[in-house]
Amino acid sequence: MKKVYILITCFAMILIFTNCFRLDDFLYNEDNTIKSYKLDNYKGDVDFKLAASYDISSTYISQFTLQSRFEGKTKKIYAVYIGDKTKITTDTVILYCHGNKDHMDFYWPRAKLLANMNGPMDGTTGYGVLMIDYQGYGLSQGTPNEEALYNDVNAAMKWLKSQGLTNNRLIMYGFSMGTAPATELTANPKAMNPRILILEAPFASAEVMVQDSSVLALPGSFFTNLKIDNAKEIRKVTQPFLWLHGKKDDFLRISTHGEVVYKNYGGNSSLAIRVAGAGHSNLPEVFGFQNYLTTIENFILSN
Amino acid sequence: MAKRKLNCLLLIVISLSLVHCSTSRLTKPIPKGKFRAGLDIGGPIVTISDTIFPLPLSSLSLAYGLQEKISISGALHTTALLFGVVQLEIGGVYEVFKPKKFIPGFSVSPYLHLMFDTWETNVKLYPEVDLNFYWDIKNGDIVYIGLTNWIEFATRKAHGQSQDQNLIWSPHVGYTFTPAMWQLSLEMKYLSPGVKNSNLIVNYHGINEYGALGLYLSAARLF
Repeated sequence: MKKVYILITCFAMILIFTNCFRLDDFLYNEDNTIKSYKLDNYKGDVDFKLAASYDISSTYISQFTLQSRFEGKTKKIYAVYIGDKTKITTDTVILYCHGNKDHMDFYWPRAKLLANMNGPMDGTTGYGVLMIDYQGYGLSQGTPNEEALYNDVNAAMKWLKSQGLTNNRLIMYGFSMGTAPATELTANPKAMNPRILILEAPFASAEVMVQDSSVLALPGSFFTNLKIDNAKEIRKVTQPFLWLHGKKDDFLRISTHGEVVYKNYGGNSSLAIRVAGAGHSNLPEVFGFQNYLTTIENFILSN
Repeated sequence: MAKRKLNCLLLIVISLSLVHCSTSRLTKPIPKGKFRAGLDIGGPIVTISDTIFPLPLSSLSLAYGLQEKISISGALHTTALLFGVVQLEIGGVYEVFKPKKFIPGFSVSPYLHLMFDTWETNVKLYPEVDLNFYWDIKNGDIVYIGLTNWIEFATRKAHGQSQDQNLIWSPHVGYTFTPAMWQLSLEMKYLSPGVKNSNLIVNYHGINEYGALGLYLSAARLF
């Protein structure tokens, strides 16, 4: 009888710890330990470095904060705009939704590269780039979560609208995790309705990540409550769509993630760029920075 | 920060590997009328932050010697439970023939895995059939080789992509020590050798980028 009690006690203890873990809270790879943004002076790891020819005068770099609401509370999030703010009324603006790592300093070379779209940024290129840190990333207040991603990017669109940007000059760009808010807010526009969607290394859904790694067709709910589903949301996107993905992406497989998103696109104006030799983090570098910029600009100009 | 990232990766890897979960539960029947309570731990070998180790997936099991050639067992997968996934396993072992000197004994172990999550109550059912050849060594110790076979009924997975693997087979080799009333097993599996393991979020260790090697330990007490 004593053995039975021991078994029952063990079982009860196991049940107490049931549901302790979900992937959701651990998926975000933010770093909120920085005291300020360093941008060009950032000494941490970055995906790639740019030559001095891509440097941007401080005249065209503006750091500021935005207000993003989540669950009834307002959070201060940080943003950087590259370009001439006074020309947002006429320039085309790329809203860059960064990936899952650290904060804006890590993604600064990527945003800076895009700001060199039509030659060195001198305020006359006709382009600007806005990047934000989502809640919990960098200096932005709050903790990361799926709804906050959408609210934060929407807050960025509200700001752009307040500065005079119109829908026909808004380009939504998402990289990796940033493809979730980029796709969501292009499929279901809120403050603004982007004219073009550009996704670099998108993931299809959390469920695909699970199934890729487990071999079996397990439901995503076994591991996560995340509802992010780019493969589903992209069906609602009718705006022109440019997809870039490294063929050697070792984090989000091109075959199970990118190809599915591209196949499900709901519009009729799309371009797929599958970059041989590129992994998850180095597509612009492997593709060639100028090739990358020319491809994007040509797509924007032709749509 | 580094520690947080490590925790993150560890949890992701553990959760994505819940199905690769235990030793071959029973390679031969236990004596008629005896119970066997066991703890299994181990999993696929992965690299996280330059550290190579087998995942600590765990399960608790209880078996009963029903007849001389048949034992039945049930198990609860405890790591899965931590994620809110109830994974129950019922099955047993049938000894087809006993070992004779150098000729191994042969057993068949069918199991049924019922999994459901406590969040959206999605349910999955997986039959498993283990085939084992084993040799009696000395003092009740055995060495065994065999195949673990999982069957995936689904032909489609997320977003209509085809489920290419419906029979997931994994060869294994193991040794069971039997001090007094204990059974202590050490087992090595080669999980899903037909499946390419490159370009995944999980850094498995396979052979030529295929499958994953797994290391498992089991401790069981007869009573």
